[in-house]
This record gives sequence, structure tokens and C-alpha cells, in this order.
Amino acid sequence: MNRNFVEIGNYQLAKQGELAAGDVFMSRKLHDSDRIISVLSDGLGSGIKAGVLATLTATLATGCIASDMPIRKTARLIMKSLPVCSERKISYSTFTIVDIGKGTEVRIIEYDNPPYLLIREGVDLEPIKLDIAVTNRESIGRHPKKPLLHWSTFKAQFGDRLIFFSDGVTQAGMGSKAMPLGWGLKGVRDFTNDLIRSRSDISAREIARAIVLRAAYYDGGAPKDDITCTTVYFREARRLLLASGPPIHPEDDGELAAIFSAFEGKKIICGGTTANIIARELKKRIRVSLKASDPLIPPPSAMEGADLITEGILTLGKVTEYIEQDFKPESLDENAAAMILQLLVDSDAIEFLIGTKINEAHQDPTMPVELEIRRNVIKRLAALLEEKYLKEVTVRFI
Amino acid sequence: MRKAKVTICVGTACYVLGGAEILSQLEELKAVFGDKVEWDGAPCLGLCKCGKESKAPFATVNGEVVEKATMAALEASIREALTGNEDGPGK
Repeated sequence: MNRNFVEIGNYQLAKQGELAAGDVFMSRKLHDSDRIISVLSDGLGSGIKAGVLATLTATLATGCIASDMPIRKTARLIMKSLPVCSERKISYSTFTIVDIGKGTEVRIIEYDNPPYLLIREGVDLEPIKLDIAVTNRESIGRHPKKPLLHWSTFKAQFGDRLIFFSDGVTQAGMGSKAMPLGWGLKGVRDFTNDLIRSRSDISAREIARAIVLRAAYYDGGAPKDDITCTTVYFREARRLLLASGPPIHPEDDGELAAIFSAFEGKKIICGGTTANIIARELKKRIRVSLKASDPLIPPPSAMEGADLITEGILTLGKVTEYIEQDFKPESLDENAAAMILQLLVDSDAIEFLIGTKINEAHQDPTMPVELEIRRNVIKRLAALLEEKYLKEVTVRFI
Repeated sequence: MRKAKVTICVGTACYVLGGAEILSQLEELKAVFGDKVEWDGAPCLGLCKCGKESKAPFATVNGEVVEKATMAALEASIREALTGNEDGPGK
């Protein structure tokens, strides 16, 4: 199951004292053509004015590239469209456009941002770039220098990491005694290579965050410019199976257990009866934790071959609630619902295997809480994971 | 010394109908009985689906089902199992 997955992580700190960042990162997934277009733009100056320039640039660039407009024309359009700064009498905003087709075909257009890093199997590659001059009288007149675009392309392989950043990263620490010329591209490059060498499974967001925080540290903890870094990580999709609910026909119990057992990836069982069925079919033993946990969420259990076993509907309802209210797993108390959320967030492709048998005991009108029908909770959870976390979700009923 | 094995159901129905309270006070029960009782949990004892009237939460003491297992009911069942006559249900 070597499905390719493109993980994009971004991290940013605004210049100290500014409410808004003048660097803007945007990423758009075009579902119909299987493309992901990401843009990092650094607007002239800082604060709101720069933010507006950068937002305009990133929006225009994304739109133009999505509609396959030629690069030169795209650049000209951007330069022509940007409003002229009233103080400096120029209009200016840098950009790095990363256009990923079908998960592996990468095309990068850079304009005045520091050059990107491409790290493959621990080797820092330096792709050949084509320089494209944008000759447009109108734009040059308002431009600080003759615009030159760098165009490059490569076919991504599993494990490749593409890292790009604003000059707030390379110029961090500039003017300080320790590094009068700033951190510099070489410094960033060495740091990033060391980081990946020491933690080969580090996520895209963690790399971006580590680079930005290091840059801020060189700035003495108070960023002297907007500091933004984006990492694209080409890797295998992390798969997760969540089985919940007994099959409607008990003769399918064996199939449920077989699918669960054969699945490659993380595995969760939600529901006592479901857990008992799978344990029985696979001849495993379930160990229930009796630690007094949450008054609303029953404690988790463990079984060989499963990453987590929890109670069903209360716990799944809580997970859904956490996502609806934008809770992050690391900020939650350690209960079974938070543990599910953490596993879901750490996965890319999530498969729900849902038994549709209804538990009559749950429909008892004397129940002090309303217990929802599993199928409805799962539908809501699946939609939320797609919308809020951009996960690839499939739901299969059994 | 007589011993008892107690299994508490942590399934949905049992948990909302009082199982949560047992778990939250389990440390006190453990203190009362010490090593005379071995504690265990079950993902679902499957007892909530039987019968018309809901008798959750459920637990078992040496295999004997305890219905409506409140703290008091559970404690009483355990005492019975520990002190009952040798041929009684606590075998």
C-alpha cells in the first residue's frame, strides 16, 4: 500500500510589534486535476500593508497557475496588479510557487525569496534552475530591479523534503555580534540537514516550526522581520482503520475480524461488543484499564494487534465534539477520546469500518443520556475530518 | 484466605447508568478489600441486551452477575463472596 501522500506544513512568526504578518502562505488543492498549488509571498515592508501585497500576490499566483497561465504572463500580471507603496514608490512582493501534480510532478517558480532546499535521502540536492527574465516596461519602471524568475522542476520520490522560506529566516540574527551577516542560507541548510539526519521521520510542520523558532532565537527572541517557513514532505500515506459496531449479520463477524487483522496501519476498535467480536475471532485477550478516568468517557483497553480499544458511542461523540470545537489533541486531558483524536490527526488516510447493528439497550428511554445512532456520528466525524483536517476518509458499512 | 475476582463492565450502557461512579470510587473499594480482591474490567459483558428492564450497571463477582451494581451493591456482593460458606456461591 505505497500510496503517495503530500504533507505540507507551515509555520510563521510575525515581526515583533506587528499585529499582522507581511508574509503570506497559501495552499490550494484542486480536486478535479489532482494538483496542489502552494505559494509563499513576502510583501514589501511589514505589517498590514505588506500583508495586503503578499495576499494579493499569493492569491493571483494561485489562480493563474491553477488556470495554467504561462509563468511569465503570471509574473507580469502580479507585478502590474500590485499597488505602489506611497512611501517607497515601488510595488514589490516576492514569491515561491510550488505546483505539485499527481503527487510527484513538482514545478517551482521562485522570485526573490531565498532558494528552496530539496533534501532526498539525506542528500541536499541542488536542482538546475532556468532563469526567466520578465521584460515588461511598465513593471520594470516600478520595480527595484530587473525581475528574474527561477524555474525548476523535479519528480518527487518517497521521502523527499522540499523546504522554502522567507528572508526573515536567512537574515535572522543580522547585525548581531555572533552572526553579523545573519544566519544565512548555509546556516539554514546545515541546520535543516542535521535536523532531518537526527530525526528521519520528522513531520513537515515540525521542520517548518524548528527552522522558524531557531531563526527567532537568533533574532534574540524578538523577530526583526516576518519569519515564515514551509515544508513539503513526500511520503507514504499513514493509514488508519477505525472499526466500530457489530455487523448487521452475525455471520459477518469473521469478515470484520479478517479485515481488521489484514489492515496495514494503525487500528482502533470503538465499542465493547465490537472489541469482543474481534478478540473472539482472532483469539486475543482484551485488557481493560480500570483507571478512574473521565466521568463521561469510559477507560481504554488494549489488545495485541490493536493500537487502541475504546467504548463506542460516547467516545466517538466526544471525538466529534472536540473537532467541532477546534480542540487540539495535545491540549486535552488524557482520555480515550483524546487518544483517538491524536491517532486520527496523525494519519492521512482514514478508513471507517462500521457495523450497522443497533444496540437495543441504547434505545432504552430510561437512559439518562441520549445515545446517538453510530452511523450518524460516524458520518459527521468523517465530514469533519475531511473539512477541518483535509484527511482522505472512506466509510464502509458492514 | 478466600479471594474474589471482580469484573466491572465499562460498556456504554453500564458506564452511563452508574459504572462511571464505580470507577471513580474504585480506589476506596480497593483500599477496603486489599489483596483479597482481584479487579478486572470487561469491554462489554453483553448483559444489557437481555431482559426488558435495564439492570445496568453490571459487574461479576467470582462469575456471579451483580445487577444494578452501585457501590453499595458491589461491596455487599464482594463481602458475601469473601465470607460466605465454603460451598456457597463464592467458589
